[in-house]
Amino acid sequence: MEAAPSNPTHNIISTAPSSVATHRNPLRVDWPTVDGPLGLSEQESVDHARRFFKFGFLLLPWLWAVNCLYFWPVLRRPSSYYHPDLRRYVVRSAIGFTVFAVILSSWALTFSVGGEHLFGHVWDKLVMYNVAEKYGLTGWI
Amino acid sequence: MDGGSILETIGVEIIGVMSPVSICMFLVVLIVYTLSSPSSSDNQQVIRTAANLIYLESSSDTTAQKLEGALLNAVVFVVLITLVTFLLVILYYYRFTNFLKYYIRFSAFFVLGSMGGSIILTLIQHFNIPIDSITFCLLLFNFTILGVISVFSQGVPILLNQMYMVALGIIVAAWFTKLPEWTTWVVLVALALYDLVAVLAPGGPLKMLVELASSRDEELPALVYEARPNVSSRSGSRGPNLGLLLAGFSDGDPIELRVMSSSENVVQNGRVVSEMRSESEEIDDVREVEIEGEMLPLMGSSSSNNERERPVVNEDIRESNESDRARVLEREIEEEEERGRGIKLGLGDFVFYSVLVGRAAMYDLMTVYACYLAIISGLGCTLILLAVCRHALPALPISIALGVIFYFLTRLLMEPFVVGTSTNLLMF
Amino acid sequence: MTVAAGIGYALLALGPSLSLFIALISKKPFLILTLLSSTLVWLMSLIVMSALWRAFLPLKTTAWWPYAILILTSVGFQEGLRILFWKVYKKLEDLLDAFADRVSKPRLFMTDKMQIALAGGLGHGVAHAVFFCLGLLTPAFGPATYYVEKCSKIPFFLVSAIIALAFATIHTFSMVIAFSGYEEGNKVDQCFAPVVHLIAGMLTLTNLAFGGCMIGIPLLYCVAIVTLVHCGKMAWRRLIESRNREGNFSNSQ
Repeated sequence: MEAAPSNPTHNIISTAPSSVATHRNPLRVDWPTVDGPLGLSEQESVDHARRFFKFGFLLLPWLWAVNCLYFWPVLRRPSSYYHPDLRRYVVRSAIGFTVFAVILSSWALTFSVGGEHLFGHVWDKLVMYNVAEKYGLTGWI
Repeated sequence: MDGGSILETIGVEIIGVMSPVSICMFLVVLIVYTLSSPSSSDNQQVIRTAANLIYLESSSDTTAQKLEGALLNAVVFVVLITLVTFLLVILYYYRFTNFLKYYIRFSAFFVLGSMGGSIILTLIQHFNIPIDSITFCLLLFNFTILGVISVFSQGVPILLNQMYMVALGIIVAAWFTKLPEWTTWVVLVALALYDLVAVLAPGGPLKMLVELASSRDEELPALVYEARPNVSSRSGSRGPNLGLLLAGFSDGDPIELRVMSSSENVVQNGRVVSEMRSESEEIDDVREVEIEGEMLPLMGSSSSNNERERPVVNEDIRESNESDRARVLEREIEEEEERGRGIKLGLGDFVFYSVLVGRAAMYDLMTVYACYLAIISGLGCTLILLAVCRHALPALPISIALGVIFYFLTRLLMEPFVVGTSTNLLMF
Repeated sequence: MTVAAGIGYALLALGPSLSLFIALISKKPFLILTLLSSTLVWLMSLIVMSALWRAFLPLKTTAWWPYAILILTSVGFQEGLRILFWKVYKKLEDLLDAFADRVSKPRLFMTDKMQIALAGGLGHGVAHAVFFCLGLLTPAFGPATYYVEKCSKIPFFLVSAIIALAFATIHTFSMVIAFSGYEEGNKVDQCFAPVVHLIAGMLTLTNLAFGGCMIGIPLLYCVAIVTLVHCGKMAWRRLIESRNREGNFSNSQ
């Protein structure tokens, strides 16, 4: 009980009545995920973040994005707050996703803005609606 | 607790279910509206699905032919669904749960990847979006894989899971709107009837499935939209389960009103047998209120998300409430937080509500709005019934019945009236 | 341009209602439910009316009196429904208060009651705008527009959007007035809503005459503004009164 103020993970809700506070005290209040208590605990989080981070390299940068969104509190709080591994993975995911997003969006923008002037004949072959037409991918409608 | 008006707390759960349904319907209507408006002529090829195996409607047929063919289609579709559901029950009974999960993941993959991809491609083509194929494939791949991961896994944000559920509903519903008109209506009605039987009749497959799942205390292996159990914004960082945990701490009987509706909606598409694409959709919904422990009073108050349900609950529990008064008071804080589990609504309901609205969108905006209102009010009625009955309820029958009635009333009665008056600029 | 025009018409008719919805209604789930149910009630009234009139439509005559009867009956029916709506709401209010006592929350404030009335009225207004304006807007998204013979200066969709806006306003706020009239037993306020509704409906009869919309629409807006001002005054008065009462109450303690 005395240690509580010094330990940031054991925030007591000050407004709660004392009888409730004694119950609530051992419970963690600072959850690492955005879903709070519905989400994962910190132990599970580390494994989870690691897995998502690794799978992100299989051309799945959205997993990195989800990693960042899901562990948003980890990103926001100072680094000593949570498990160091957890934070490392989340921050790396953030970096990975940013790099990916920058590269991909610059390519896509160049492609769509530059158009046929820049790419010439290749553009027609690469642009998606032509490709879809060629292979008959639009079964709908 | 002070200051907050009661208006803000009542109906949170109902809105929590209604808003995704509304979003789903709205997007389906938007898709149908944008893509089918320019040339809704006969030249579109009709897609063979499980819902029109027998009869392909063509506009030149007579009404009797259409009706007969549509009825046959509906019967075949419902029989297929029944068979698949029984298969599912058997698989679940013999604990092939993992198989079922992988199967559902696979179908989610298929739906998102191929059907969703096809819809997105159509949109791209329609708007001439100059996106290159590499980017597109990469994004679609990411979208699909993330969807597959989010279907059953724990480690994704709840919001993401909900979004993917809505997305699945949209995609499947958008495909189903391609059914010919008569078949759509008959199939919808047939499904509503089937739903009624499967959930409520003794020996109904869905009833068995739900009972099985609740006796094993497991999640149903099915695609189910689950409303967020509690509005976390209200209780800040302390979330809903805290009340549960606390209850466990204090005397070990979890207060749990589990309004667990589950639909099992194994979207089993994917048998592309020669030219026949069969996407039979096994969709239903089951809703179950499962009461654990004997804490009726708390459940009453924690679950009364709707004032209309309250009186009934109230009378039920008045006596025990008096005796348990002290206990209830002691747990007032938990009551605040623990608002019962989220209501679960089967993805099938999403799909068929949206199919109805999408079909209405092909006629007029007025019918869309009338059908939307009818369906939403039907859903509201079902939710109220759920609170009263406290066991699994089918969500399709009331809504579909109201939707169909309102569609035809609007189309046959209201449309000429409103058009007649308002083209004269008469309003009231 | 065409899609833009369609969206523009829709926003013209529904924009104020939409902002009201986002600012006030959407934050309180119960108000959303009220809105939906009131919209449903309005829709059903429209269906019943159209069922009654189905046999006589379309009217072949150019005389104005059949239309006048039509509007009269519709308004009468809808005002009857309003009273029914009030009765149901009254029951609901008791339930809500009982519920509030149970969860030890404050009972409904006066502003809460007004908000419920507003949500109910907004439901009527939105339903009106949707069915009389948005429902016909489908062709507006297309490449052409449409003019009515009688009002040839303005596109039909624009006129209907403008009229729908006026009616949405009238419906929304006359519901608040009517509810407070019922609650206080104020006869003037009770009669205000039906009378305004009827006047507004009858004003649209001017559109039957050539160029009549030039006169009818400004008059319609006058009615809408009168409603708005009356509602504002009433709400202000009641707020002041309730504040004074609260002040007295706390002073006396």
